[in-house]
Amino acid sequence: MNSLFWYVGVVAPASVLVPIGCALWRYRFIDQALKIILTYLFIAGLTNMAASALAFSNRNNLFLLHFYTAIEFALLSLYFLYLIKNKHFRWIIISVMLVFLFTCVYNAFYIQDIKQFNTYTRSLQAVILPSYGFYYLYKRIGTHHGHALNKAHYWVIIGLIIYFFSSLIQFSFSNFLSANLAKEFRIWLWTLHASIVLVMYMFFAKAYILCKDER
Amino acid sequence: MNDNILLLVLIVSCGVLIMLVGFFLLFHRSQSRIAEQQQRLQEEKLIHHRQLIKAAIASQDAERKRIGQDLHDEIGAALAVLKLTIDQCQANLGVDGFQHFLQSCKIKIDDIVSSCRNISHNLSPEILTINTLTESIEELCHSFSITIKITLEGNDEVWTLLDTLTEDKAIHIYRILEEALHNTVKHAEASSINIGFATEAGLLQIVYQDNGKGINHVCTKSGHGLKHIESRLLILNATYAPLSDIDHGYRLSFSFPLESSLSEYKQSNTIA
Repeated sequence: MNSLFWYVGVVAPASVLVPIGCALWRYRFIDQALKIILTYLFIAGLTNMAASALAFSNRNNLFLLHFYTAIEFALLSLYFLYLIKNKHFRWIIISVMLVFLFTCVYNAFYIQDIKQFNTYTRSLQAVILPSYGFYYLYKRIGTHHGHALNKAHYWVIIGLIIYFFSSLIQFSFSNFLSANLAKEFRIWLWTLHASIVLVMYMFFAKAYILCKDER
Repeated sequence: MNDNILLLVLIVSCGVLIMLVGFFLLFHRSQSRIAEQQQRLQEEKLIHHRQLIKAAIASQDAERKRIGQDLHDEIGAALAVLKLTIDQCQANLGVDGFQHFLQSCKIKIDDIVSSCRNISHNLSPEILTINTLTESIEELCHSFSITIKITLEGNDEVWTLLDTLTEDKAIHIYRILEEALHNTVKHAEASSINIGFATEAGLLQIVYQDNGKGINHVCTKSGHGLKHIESRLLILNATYAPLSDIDHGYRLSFSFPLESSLSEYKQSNTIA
């Protein structure tokens, strides 16, 4: 079981260094949208470090998740804002982002305890962000003509869709599962989540590797 | 824990629904895009095929016109002169006059026979009747070598293989090189041409390269000469790569499998 703790607390969060390394290696060739993803990876890495440090010292780290959800949603919305050119859809993204940020703050202070999982906002996020991804893919499928940056965005979006949809049920019922599930099963669940995060990071790494000079 | 489970189930249900609809739409979209691309490809093939047929018909028409002109200008004119000579014979002729008349008739008949031979030679090169393919190519190159330096490259094995080709294939290769040489002399302003023959892994590879000004493929898209070359390459089932560069001239590289021609040759030798 100890090895699972290391996997969930150290190995999986540390895997963020792989896409970050790839992004820095290809930094000259990445566009603004992929730079936002790089910022997201930095913030995810720092948050995970802080969360692991708190968890290893047996302190509640869930308040970090409340902040992290808001920042993650804002950054990924900005990412889609750079990708999607449809004027009306861009307005939808901006409006949803503002409403969601307000909901996060309201949820943290008035609805769900800051020491609990933010299941409402986290699950809403896991529904909204992949929907943006589907919209982008629907509009662009079969029209990319093999440009490296377009291929890179496909990998990023597929990674996001896989991560958020795979984690949707876990995000939604985190509090329920924490209260009702045996510790052993909960650890296995978080191991599964850590593996999905790892897969998403590998998709991001692949996206950065695909970026090259095509001028 | 006082989460509203109903609300969470609703969110999850929405998420699952979006996922299913999303995947279905993406699948549908990708399928229709593939279908569109296939249709476009099919249309392009059809257009290309039509262009090839058009080029073949145009080529036939041009050839008919040329034969007609040759017959009119050379045979027709020669026969007319002969007729005139015979008409003149109706006047009184002495012995010397009759001898002179016979002599001029013979000269005219020789001219007509010579013209017939030239027209016939132009229609069908003497491949596999009098000359081998290598001899015919050498003769062809020789006929162009007055204005341009032509180098043939290959080893004994390749020359032997060339002479084992079936008549059809030999004629196609001859015509392709003839067309390429015509194009170079007519348009390329080249000073030298290199034609290389090689065999590799059961394939006969021919590389034609001149040092002229090259061809702009966009501008010469409808050129009949290039279409003829392409039609013959298709008939040969050859893989080919025409390349043209302003600095490096025109280059045509093509290769086709030798197996069938060798087996046909061996078979014909066995029967013989």
